[in-house]
Amino acid sequence: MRHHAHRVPVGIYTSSRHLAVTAAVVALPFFLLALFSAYANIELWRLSYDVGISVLRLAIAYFLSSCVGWVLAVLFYRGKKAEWALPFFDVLQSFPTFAALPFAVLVFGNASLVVIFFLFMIIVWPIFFTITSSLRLIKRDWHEAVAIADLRGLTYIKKFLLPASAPGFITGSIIGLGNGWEGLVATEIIARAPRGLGEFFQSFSSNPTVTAFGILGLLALIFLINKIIWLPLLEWSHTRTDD
Amino acid sequence: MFALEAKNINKTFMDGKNASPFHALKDINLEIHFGEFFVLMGPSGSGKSTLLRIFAGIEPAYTGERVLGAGLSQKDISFVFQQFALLPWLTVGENIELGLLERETSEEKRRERVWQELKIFGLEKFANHHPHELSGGMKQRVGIARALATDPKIIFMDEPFSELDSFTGDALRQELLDVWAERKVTIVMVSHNIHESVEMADRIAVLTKPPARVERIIQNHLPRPRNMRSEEVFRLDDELYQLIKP
Repeated sequence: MRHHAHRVPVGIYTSSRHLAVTAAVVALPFFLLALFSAYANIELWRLSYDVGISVLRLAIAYFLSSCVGWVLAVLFYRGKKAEWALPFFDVLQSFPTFAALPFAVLVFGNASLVVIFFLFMIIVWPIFFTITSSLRLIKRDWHEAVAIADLRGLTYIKKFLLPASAPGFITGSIIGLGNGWEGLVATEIIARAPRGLGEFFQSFSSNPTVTAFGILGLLALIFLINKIIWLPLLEWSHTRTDD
Repeated sequence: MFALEAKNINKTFMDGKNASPFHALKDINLEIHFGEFFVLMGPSGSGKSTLLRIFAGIEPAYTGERVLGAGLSQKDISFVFQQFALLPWLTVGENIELGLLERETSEEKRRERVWQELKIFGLEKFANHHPHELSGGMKQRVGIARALATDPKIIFMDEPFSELDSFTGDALRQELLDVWAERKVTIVMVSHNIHESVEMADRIAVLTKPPARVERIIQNHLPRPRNMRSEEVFRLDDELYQLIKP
């Protein structure tokens, strides 16, 4: 399984053809973007800038969610704490984020910060809960083997906690980013955040064709990110946790 | 000179909210000597694995005292698991290295040590494989190599051969006996298999049904290598069978 006739630089690709097809697929959204901007008579740089700024907000929120979700999961996944913490977080995550949005705009104004904060609230829960379930599935044997090996501190995190939480983290990322994309445009519109896809869609809201194509492009982008990044990662992570 | 002493060890499980507490181990007193091959037997559910975990220091909830022999610390202890307990995201080599990470700071020395164990157990070709690519016998070879890599003074083994087919089990038992004779390490093993216990043990402690006490300790002075078809072996088999049978 590990030795292939055609060695390619990146591990997850099985052949050079696989790599080439993937590269072509990665280029597709950019090609669509160019085509779309030509059709709608929008300057390409403006469109790219809006997409870029939205993706950046999402990326920052995702990064924060990953850190916070992972730390919370590690702190609360087992023991007495888990008995009250998990139901408590379950109630928190059911709180409808959008209900608080107008209030936050009132306090923080129409800033990127509000969008990032709300995306964080949307993304952090799936990541937290899927990592928690991954960690709760760790066999007692594995904990004991690690106790006998006397792993501590950074070594414990690197060799045990991080790999053990990887499958949950990847599943949580897929769900969280899915929700994140969904929330992104709406949050940007409601918060009237400067630039980004929210403003883009709003300024073209009277032109249904542009809006429809815009949404189609966004869906293609989300689909491709899933297909190219997350699904192979998910599959890979399972080969590393099934023994 | 004992390697490990148990004084009045008691263990009660408090499972569930309404269930009555379950008294698993009652007043266990044992001394395990340096260098001996000690086997724990008993009926199913008699708490052998729990006692082994208390001995190994990975089961903290019990009453009584567990005393390690002179000069020994938790660092001198290793464990071999029934279901191997290899970390699936680490390669064979990295699994064997696991216990060395905190014990040996020099990466070069660690690698050297891992390589020695790989060679002893015929695992060199599999150093970069992951556990899911190995057979059960190979996995337990890695489990034993991992336990030996830290140069332990006591190795605890929880039914290490019960998941293997009988041929693989036979081969691995022989490898373990060779290693034990060579390295003069103390082994405490839980077993369900009477014949296996007679083949390997210097002494066999038989536990009762729960709440488990030590019913008897049987001395096994048969010379090694043991002829497993001899009359004495079958007599010991019968004696153990009478003690353990449900």
